[in-house]
Amino acid sequence: MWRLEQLAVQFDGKPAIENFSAQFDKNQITVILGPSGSGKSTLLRVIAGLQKPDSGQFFIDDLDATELPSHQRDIGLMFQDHTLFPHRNVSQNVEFGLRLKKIQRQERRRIVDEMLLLVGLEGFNARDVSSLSGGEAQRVALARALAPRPSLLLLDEPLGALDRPLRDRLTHELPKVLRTTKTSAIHVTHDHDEAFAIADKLIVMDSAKALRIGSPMDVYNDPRSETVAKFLGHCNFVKIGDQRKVIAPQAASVDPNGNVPAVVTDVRLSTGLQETFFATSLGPLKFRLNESLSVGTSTILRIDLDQTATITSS
Amino acid sequence: MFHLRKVLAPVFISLGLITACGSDKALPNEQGSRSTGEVSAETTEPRKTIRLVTHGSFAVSDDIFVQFEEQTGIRVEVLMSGDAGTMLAESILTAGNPIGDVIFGIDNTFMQRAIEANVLEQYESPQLEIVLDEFEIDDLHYLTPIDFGDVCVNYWIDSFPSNQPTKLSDLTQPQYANQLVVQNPETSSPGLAFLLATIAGTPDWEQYWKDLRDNGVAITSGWEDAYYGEFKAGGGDRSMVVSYASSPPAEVLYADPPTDQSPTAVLLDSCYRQIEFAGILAGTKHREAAESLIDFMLSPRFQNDVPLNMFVFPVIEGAVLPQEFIDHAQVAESPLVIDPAEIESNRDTWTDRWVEIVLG
Amino acid sequence: MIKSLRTIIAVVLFLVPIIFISCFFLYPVAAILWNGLQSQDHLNQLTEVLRTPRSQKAIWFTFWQATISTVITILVALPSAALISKMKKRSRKWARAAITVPFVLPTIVVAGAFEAVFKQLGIDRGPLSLHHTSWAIILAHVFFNYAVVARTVGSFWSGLDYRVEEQARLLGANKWQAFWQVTFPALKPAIYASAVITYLFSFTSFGIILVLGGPRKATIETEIYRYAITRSDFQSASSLALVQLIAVLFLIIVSTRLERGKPAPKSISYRSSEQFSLKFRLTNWTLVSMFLGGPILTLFLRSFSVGDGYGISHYQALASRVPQLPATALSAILNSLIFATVATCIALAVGILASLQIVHGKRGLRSLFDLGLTLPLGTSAVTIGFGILIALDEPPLDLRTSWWIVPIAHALIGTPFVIRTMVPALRHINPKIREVAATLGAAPHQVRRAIDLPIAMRGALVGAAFSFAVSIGEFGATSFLPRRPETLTAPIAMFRLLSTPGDLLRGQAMALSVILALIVATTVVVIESTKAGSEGSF
Repeated sequence: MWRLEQLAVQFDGKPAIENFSAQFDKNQITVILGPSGSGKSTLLRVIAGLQKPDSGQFFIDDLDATELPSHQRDIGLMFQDHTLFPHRNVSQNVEFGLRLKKIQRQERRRIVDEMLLLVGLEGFNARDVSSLSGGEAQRVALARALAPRPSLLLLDEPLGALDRPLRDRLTHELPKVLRTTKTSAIHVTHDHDEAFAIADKLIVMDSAKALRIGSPMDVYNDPRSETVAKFLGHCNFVKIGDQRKVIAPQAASVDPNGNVPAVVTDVRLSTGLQETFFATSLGPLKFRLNESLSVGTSTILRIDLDQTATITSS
Repeated sequence: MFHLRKVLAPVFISLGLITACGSDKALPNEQGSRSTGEVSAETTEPRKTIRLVTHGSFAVSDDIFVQFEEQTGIRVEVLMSGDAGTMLAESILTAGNPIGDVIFGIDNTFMQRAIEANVLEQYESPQLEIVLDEFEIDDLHYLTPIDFGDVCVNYWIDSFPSNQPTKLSDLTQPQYANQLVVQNPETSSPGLAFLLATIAGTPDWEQYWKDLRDNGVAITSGWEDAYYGEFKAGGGDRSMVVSYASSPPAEVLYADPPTDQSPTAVLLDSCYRQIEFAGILAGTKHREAAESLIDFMLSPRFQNDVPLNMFVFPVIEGAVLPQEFIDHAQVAESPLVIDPAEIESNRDTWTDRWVEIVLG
Repeated sequence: MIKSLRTIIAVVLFLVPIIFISCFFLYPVAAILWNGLQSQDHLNQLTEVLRTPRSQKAIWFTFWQATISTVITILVALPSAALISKMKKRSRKWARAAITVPFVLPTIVVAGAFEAVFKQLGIDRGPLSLHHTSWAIILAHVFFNYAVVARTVGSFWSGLDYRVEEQARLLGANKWQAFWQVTFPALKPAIYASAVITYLFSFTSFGIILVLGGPRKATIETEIYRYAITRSDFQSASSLALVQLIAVLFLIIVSTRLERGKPAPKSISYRSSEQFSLKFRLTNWTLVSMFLGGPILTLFLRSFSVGDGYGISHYQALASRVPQLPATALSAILNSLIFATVATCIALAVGILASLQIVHGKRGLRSLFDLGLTLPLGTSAVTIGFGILIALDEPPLDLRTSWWIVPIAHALIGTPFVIRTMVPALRHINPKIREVAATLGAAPHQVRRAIDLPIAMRGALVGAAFSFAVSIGEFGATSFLPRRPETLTAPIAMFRLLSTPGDLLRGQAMALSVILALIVATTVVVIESTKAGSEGSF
């Protein structure tokens, strides 16, 4: 278990992390989601021991590890790109951490092969790293980070530099690999689809602060603030009475006995799903419906109030 | 894969080096013994070793100091420095804690400076009896003459089928225009000697140099660029150069293809005499051995060895000259000289004036 | 226990460069300057020599020629750097070796060769005469330093991400605009690094100034020599040496400031497959081989010219001793090789340790390391030689006549080369790589050893090759130190052979210089071929 308490980091007087407290549990994948510049990478660097916090503490199993140097933390790290050791081939990259753990040559070989198999690069052992494609390089980086079996693995936008299909595939494979190896991980990304696909636990960060911590479902259904809601992809913000609410995109269905009259203004296709835009008395709303409506149709929607959450406006 | 050895090897070398700061004795002595062809068996019977400090042109036959050691039990270690000027500057800087016991190679153009700088101890060698009187110019016996050579204008014989120059004053004549190359007396020892020759050998040396300048004299910084760069011998186009009286025999000895006739000759009227001296360095701990070495340098064995090694002449009576020197070397009968004390008090003024006239 | 041992090792490694430079440079130089300056009780006396028009002219000329030499060297060497950066491994090795040859040739020999080339081209007289002009000096400085710029910048260039330049091209920049606005700024660290070396080299150049410049050209260096050696006027010499020291200090400070601009870090080099046009390549290499090859060819031909024809007898003669030399020329070559090897090892060890400190050490210390270890390159050989002579004169530091003093003096000059080529390489390493290594369990010293060293070894080896070449050809500081006849080095042997008339001796000197050139070329090829040499992005 890893715990951050009252963490703060400043760069040139500007806060990169403010008053940040969070806990990361064993065998969980925690995803930190936030726009670029929100301080998520800095957070990882603090956890890895690469960045000294200005105040606050970091605990590993309730032991204060704030001052513990990186190489003694047993925490692995994987960056977005270009971090393979250029003077070593694939095997030599993967076995780097194993050598430092003074693992015997035979055993090292076995683990390297196992890791390369795991990331789908068997037989790449002797390849020069400059001959790898971007996706292959990231898999090698993953294998290298996993090989010494760190108790916690930090992933800093590991898929960020890859093209879409590759990224989708690895988004799918990565949690499998992590779970196969029973690796606890903190994964940083700015992509909410990726976040939801991977996360056991989600932390939404913005402007140096943790805005919302919880399970992906909880966070999605109850974002609590408009910033978080917007960042998760919500766009149905309405005012009901004195309260600001957000309505989930799947919360509506076409129902003549419904409660909200609406006119279709636009229909768009996004990632295989049809999104229908409405003008309503509550304002413009966007829903994913089962049926197709054409632009200009007047209809009545039933909005499931259980799928709305109250938010504070930011 | 951690290239540990690759990295640590040089580190250890440099660590060893730092310990070597503390004890430099091991290697040098080993090196030193090699110099005299000794074997390590000698260590059982420790012999006295003295150091001879000299300039880079110092050269003797391989076995000469071995003979000295057999006679006296004194081993000679030679230490060479750049040129005579460097050597003198070094001995002045290390006065009181000299790097050696005997110094050889101070000449009469700089002897007064060495004497005034208190780097020498007086010694009157009994061997001075056989030294020709003209070379005994240090009455206080700080310095003992060992050899001499003349710095003279050399000329390319073929360039002057009929009108060979014979006098120093000829060089300013129009028929020798653009033929002479001399060295800067501020950076070259023969250059300085030739300046002194003109001061001793012409009625008004400043006027003489103005005339030389107007007659197209070329100036180089050193002997090499004059002799090999400008003079005909090195492929240049000037027919007269300031060099040594021993240059013609060298041209025969090291001719390619071999020849028995030197292509160059010496203008005897222009010769300035350089006498090289040896002295005992003040602060030596081996005074007696140092005296023996100076005596040895005046022995016929050493004196006869000098011509073909350093291309200079012996200073003792009855020395035997090699055939090449008898055939091709000429010695000026009445060379130009200036009193060392006068040189010392005027050298800087003269060279400054020379720079103004010739380079200004 | 292990931890304290590790701490001790770390402290020792930290101290090695400091002890080296203090022991063999700072202390001796301070001693010789103090010796010269203490007798002057007045600032007035100190500046007396500096107020003479002659000194002022020399000081001005020193800066002028060094600046022009550096600028021209960089401009003419850039095309070769570009070509080298895109060459295939094997041909790159040979090109690098070939252009390094001039670096080793003793100035006295090169100066003679230049005069001969001027004569051949008919520019030794007449209106276009280069004889005894500043341009002759500058030309020779370019000749000597060409390799420093072409190789340092070429290595660095090959590690740049070519995609940035391509991006600029796509945005509508033509080749020249893309180069000047994108690539050139990225090359700056390497350009500054090699410019400093070229500048200091030209600043303290001696033989070239005297021979090619003729008697009318004087620099601070030649004036120090004149006062110290010809006049034994150590006061004036010290004043000038002090000016030289301050000027060099200032230069290095400015250059390190400029050099610090870091390029975008990356780890894998994307080498463009796009080659330069054949026309460009042909033109460049033809001009280079004419410029660098001309003087070398002269030496080569002279070394084989026997009597009225050609032959190898000058080479054969090197095996037997001539009276002018205290040992055979062949043993002089052997001595030079041993000295150069030892000096290079010292320079490599000190340079690597110092480079790591410069890149990773505490901020204040960084510049001190850089400054201290670069200074020797810009310090007069007279100052270093005489400084060692009067400072290291008492046990336990009586090194005046020690065998070690020669390789140490050479290493003083070789170390800046290692530092100047290694530091840009270290700075070029993506810091994230080190961080990843740390999270994989590597302690800081293990990161240095497993990441920094192997990746920057390429740079260090370029420096080592230069250090070796400098040592083989060195004729400065060591000629101001007393030496034993049996430690005769090849450049001194060459100088001795050239100081007695006779074509035989001159032929041998030329043969000796050709052999030196071949040795250095071979060494460079061997160094380039080592495993570390082929590793990494350089």
